[in-house]
Amino acid sequence: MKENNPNTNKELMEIYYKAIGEAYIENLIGTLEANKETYRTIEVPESLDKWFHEYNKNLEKSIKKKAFTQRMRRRSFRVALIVAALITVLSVITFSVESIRTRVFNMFIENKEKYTEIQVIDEISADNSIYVPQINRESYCYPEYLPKGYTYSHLDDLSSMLYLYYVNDNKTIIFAQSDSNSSNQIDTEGAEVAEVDINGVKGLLIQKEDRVMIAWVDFDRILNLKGYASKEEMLKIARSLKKNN
Amino acid sequence: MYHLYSKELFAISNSILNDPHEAEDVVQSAFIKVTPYIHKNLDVKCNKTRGLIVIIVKNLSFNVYSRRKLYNMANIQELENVLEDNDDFSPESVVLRLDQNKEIAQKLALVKEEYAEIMTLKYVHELTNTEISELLSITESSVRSKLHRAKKALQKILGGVDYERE
Repeated sequence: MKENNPNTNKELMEIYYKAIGEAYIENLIGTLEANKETYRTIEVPESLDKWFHEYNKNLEKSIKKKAFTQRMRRRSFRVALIVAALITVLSVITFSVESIRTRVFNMFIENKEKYTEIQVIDEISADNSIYVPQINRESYCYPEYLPKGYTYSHLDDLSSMLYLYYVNDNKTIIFAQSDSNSSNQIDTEGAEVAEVDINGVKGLLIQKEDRVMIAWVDFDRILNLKGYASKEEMLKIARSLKKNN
Repeated sequence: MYHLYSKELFAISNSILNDPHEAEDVVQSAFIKVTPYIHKNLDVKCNKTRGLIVIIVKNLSFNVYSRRKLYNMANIQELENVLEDNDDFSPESVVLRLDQNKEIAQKLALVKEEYAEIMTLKYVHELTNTEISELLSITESSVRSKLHRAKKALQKILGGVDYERE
C-alpha cells in the first residue's frame, strides 16, 4: 500500500464520503419522484394542517420579535455611544473655562415694596487688620475708622449676629455682621436707596431722614452699618472695615 | 416547505408506522427539528433540503417503531459478510470509482439505510455529531458509532485494506 500524507488522505476520504452522501440523496429523490403520483392522492390530516398554521404563525412572531430586539439593541448601543461622546465633549468644555472653576463673589438684591432683601450668593477672602477689639470669636470684622467723638462702647454677640456699638454722647453707630447663609430684611420704605462702592464691593446706602444705613456683603458675611452720622462719614467707616484674622 | 413536502413526508412516516396519528406526530417533530437549519437563503425546493427532511422523518419514524415493537435490526455482521472482500484499496482506486457513486451509495443503503443517511447528514449537510444526535433523537455516542460502522461498511464495499486510521 502506498504511504501518503495521513491528513491529505483524510481530506480525500471526506470528499468521497460527501460524494457518496450526494449520490444517496439523488437515489432518494429518485425514489420520491417515482412515488410522486401516489403521494398526491394522500390526504394529510386536517389537524396536521392546523398545527402547522399555528406553528408557522408563532415562528414568524418570534422571528419578528427577535429582529426587533436586535434592532433596539443596536440603536441603544448607538444612542449610548452618542450620549457618552456628548458628555465627554461637554465635560472637556466645562472644565476648561476658568470662570466656572473660580468662585466669584456676587450679591443678589431683590427689591421688594417695603423691604430690601440682601442675600450672599458667594464669598471672597479678607485681609488682616491693625486695631482688633477684644471679642471672643474666631473671626469678626470691625471698622478701623470712627468719626470724631465716637468710641467703641460694647457688643452683643448673638451667635449668628454680632453687634458692635460706637457712641458719641447721645448718638450711636451700630455695626452688625452675620453669617453669609442668613438673610437680612432692611426697612427701605420711604427711604432713599443708592448703590455705593465699598472697596470694590457693591453696597446699598439707605437714607431715611437723618438716619443712614449701609448694607453690603464682604468677608463672608452680611454687614450692616446704621447711625446718624453723615453719608460720607458712614461710607468712610464702611470702607475702613477689617477682619481680625 | 410544508406545503411542498407534507404529503410525501406523511406518507413515508405512515408507511413505516401504519398509524396516521403517530405519523402526524413524527412529521410535526421533524418540522420543529429542522426549522433551525433552514435559513433564508436556502432553497426549500432543492434536493438537499428535501433529502434532509426526508431522512429526519424516516429516522424519527423508525425510532417510534422500534420503541413500539421489539424491532430486530438486521445483523450488520451478516450483511457485511455478503460483500466481497477486496484487498486492493487506495485513494487512486477511490478516485477511479467516482463514476460509480450512485451504485456504491445504493449498496451502502442496502447494508443499512441509516449508514447512507448518517454519511449524508455528516458530509453533505456538514452537521456536527451533536446536531445529528438532536435531529435524529439519538445519543452522540450512537452517532459516532454509526458513522464508524458506515465508513467500515463503505470500505468493505469499495474493498481492500482499512485505509483511514481513526
